[in-house]
Amino acid sequence: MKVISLKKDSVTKGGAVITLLPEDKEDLFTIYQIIDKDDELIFKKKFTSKLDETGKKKSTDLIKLKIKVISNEFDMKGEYLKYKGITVTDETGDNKPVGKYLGFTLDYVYPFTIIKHNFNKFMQKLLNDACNVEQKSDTAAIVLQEGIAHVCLVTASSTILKQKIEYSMPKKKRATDVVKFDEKTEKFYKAIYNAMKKDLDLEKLKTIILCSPGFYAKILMDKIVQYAEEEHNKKILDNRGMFFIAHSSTGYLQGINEVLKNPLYASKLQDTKYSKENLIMDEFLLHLNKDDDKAWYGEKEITKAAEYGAINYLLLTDKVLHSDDIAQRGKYLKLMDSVESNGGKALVFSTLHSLGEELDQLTGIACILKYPLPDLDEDNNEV
Amino acid sequence: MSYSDYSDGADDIPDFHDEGEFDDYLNDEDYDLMNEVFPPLKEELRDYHGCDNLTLKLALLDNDFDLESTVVELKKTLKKKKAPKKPTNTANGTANVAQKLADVSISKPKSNGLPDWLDEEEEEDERKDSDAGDDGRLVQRYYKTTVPTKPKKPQDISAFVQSQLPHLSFVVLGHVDAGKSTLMGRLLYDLKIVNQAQLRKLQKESETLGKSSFKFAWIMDQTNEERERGVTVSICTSHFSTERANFTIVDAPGHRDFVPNAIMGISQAEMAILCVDCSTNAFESGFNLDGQTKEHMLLASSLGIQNLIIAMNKMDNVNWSQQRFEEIKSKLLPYLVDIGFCEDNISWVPISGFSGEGVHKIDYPNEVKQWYNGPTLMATLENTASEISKESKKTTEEDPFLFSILEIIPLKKTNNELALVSGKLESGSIQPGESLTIYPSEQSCIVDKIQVGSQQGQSTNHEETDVAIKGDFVTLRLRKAYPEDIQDGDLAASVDYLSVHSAQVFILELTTFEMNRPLLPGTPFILFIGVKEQPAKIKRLISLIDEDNNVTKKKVRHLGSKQRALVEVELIEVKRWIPLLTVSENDRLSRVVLRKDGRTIAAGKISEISE
Repeated sequence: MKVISLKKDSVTKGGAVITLLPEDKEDLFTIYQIIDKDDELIFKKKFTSKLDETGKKKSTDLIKLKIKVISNEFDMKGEYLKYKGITVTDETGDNKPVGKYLGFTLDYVYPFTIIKHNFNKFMQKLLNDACNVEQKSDTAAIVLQEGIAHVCLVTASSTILKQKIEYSMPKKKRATDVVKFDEKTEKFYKAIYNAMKKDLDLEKLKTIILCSPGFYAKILMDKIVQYAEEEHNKKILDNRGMFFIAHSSTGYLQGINEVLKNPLYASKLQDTKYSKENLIMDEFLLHLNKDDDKAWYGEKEITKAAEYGAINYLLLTDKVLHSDDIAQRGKYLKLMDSVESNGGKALVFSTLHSLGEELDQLTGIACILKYPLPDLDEDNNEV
Repeated sequence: MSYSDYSDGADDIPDFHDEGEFDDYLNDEDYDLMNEVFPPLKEELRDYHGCDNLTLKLALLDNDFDLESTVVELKKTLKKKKAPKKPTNTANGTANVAQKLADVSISKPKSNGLPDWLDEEEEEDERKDSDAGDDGRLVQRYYKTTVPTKPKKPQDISAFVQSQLPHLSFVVLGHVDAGKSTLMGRLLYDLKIVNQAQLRKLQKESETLGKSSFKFAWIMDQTNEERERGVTVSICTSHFSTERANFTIVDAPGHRDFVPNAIMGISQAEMAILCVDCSTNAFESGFNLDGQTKEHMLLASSLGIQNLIIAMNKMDNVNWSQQRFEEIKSKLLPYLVDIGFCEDNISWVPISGFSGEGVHKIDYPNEVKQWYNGPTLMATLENTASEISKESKKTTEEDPFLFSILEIIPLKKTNNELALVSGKLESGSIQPGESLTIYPSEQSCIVDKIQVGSQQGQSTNHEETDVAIKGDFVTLRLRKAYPEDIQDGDLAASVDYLSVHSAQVFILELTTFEMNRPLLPGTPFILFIGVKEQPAKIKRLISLIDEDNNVTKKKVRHLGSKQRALVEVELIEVKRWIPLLTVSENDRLSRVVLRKDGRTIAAGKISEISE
């Protein structure tokens, strides 16, 4: 992302005017988290208008517009973020109609401006992260088992299933036709290879994790090299070092998280943001399982723990920070501040990852304490 | 894609509205073929009008995928484009106008300044449509009836049941390298189902790979992957008969990575043989925490297996020592009782699978006879078979017909509305001429023929039967069926049995095992039900319950090890629902197992299906 200008408004406290240009889908997600309802957007949109009555001559103009946001549509997989709003008067004073409904679909070509009424630390951090290109390289994962494979992209903020490959393998009987079985297996690996070529851009990736139970990942690696050699695919052969074979107990998407939280692989994968989240989440679960009163979830419990200044890690989802309820949003932001000022850390989990989804089901907020605090939930039981 | 003014041709083939629909219509083979010849054809006809994808594909189909003849035919019928001029100018009339309308969404010609809400909506509808395209297939409706049909040659079920030899299906379980596949190979060899010549061939093959001890195992382990690595991967089923009973054996993998396949094996079996390696230290390593002996037994118990034979294998390695036999028994028995097996339903048989003593034909050496005078493994199996079948015969007549589909056998020619499905009768009976409904697609079909025996499927020399009863493994030839919407793990039931529901959300009575992470709302895991394996997650922790399912605690924050609870579970990543039965309808089919991170963490029964 390119932030072209950022002016904090000193008059109306907490406001800001930001002009920026998104560059990839990660940026779209960042912007999605920043823009709230009632913020104003200034952008340029192409309009074609007929100039004369015959309709033969057309002109396409870029018109600058300003809208007040009403709603949005976001689809990470399709790299699609669109805001709907109503036009409001802007300073240029051209005769543009006011009060018209209008949509604005973000692209990577024209910069646009956000006029925010409440700009906060969390958003500032999002913007900073988005501008840091170093952190942005993606990891891909191919998780498979017999007859099933998932080709995915694991970015800092989301797990995107690019393609699912499913083959029903012939059942083994005493008189199995081994030749037929091998043919089908070969087809299966070839399909994964083709999906990989089609859906993964090797130049933008740092690591490709191949994981499976048993030996399927290893065979897939051999097959990838074999197919690449057959078609002299330099791009793949030169990037052989990018592939990383790991063990998972399943060929479903859960297998990826299993790899990311496995301490054996941590040194290889540690710099992915998502793998850090995995480790923290796992620690949270570990405490919960030990019943040592160091792990809690639920708003009331967390608020209480924060009052004691006892929170070591605060786990939040992007959803609660981006809730439509402004008071609620403010509360969580304060909570983050208080945790950080007490030496704790706040982590925001993206709900576009399965972990964030899990956390979302757990009220969207959880914590790991520095020391045990029993009975944080007691008052709740009485109410 | 350039648009079409070629309306004449399209009229001949009114069945397909778009390319996607046509692709769905093709079977796998045709689809592959299509993808092979389609790109070059498209390239060839680049300069012609009317070559939209659907037209080309239909033409290809008409010409049996022959590229050249299709090109010739199409070049005759299609108009060549007039140079690289703007193609819009060449066409006129109504077709052109209609096309312009269709093109609006792409070029978005806007008139008179700003568009209003309407234009935006149009765009949005388009997006929704493309999504609906995928989901649309789910609600495909088939012919469904609840009126039973009469058998072609009605048979008296109770007389038939009495006349039959007992039938028993069993699964062979145990830690990796306990000798499961070798034992099964030995059994089949002793029964002369595998002959001397076949075994000699296997011996030769295994010796060339330096694995001569695998000659029996290779009877079951046939794929290259399995032979090279010396482990069983998939389950392998096989049928055989003795004078006293008919058997179906399921050889299961022992390696921990392939536990999912072992679960599939268990779900098909009525009893289990646990193969134990009695060699020094071998039993111990298989019996520790990470060994599969315990996990397999836990799975068997959870999935409703009640009878066990413990095959005390490789006894020749410890000189048939009674002391070793008793030592292992004293360690294993308390565990088995603890997880729910009844001591009276467990038989203990000393054997050597590789050399064959105690399996079937080869008698025990003298030192064994001094302390063991029980039956051989085969005789024990026959005894168990007659006991179990006595039980099941009682209920076969009244119970509803239920059939687990294990495999769809591809037909050489995709004939009209014909399907060949093999599987297991879970309850009741079926005869040719009777009707059944397959779930979740809810298509009602008529049973045309029932194949039995070891040559089922496409082979021409299979045997047929007039009746199949509970426990039988058969292949059904179905009429009025749509095999493209039948999958492994689907359930068939008699048309007037209405308790099968397809759903994505349901409530389980769950028992958790030793877990190192708790179950929380949102926790993902892999759910095993019958031969199906599905990713799922906990939707809601409802309450803790005791052994008699009485609620003990209402508010549950998380579920730890060794607890019983009612939980709501939701399947994830599924486009197709799965057929379910509650525990009150069928104990065996309602059972599920939960695994996470490669460990079996809980088991349960479906108590309620959310509509």
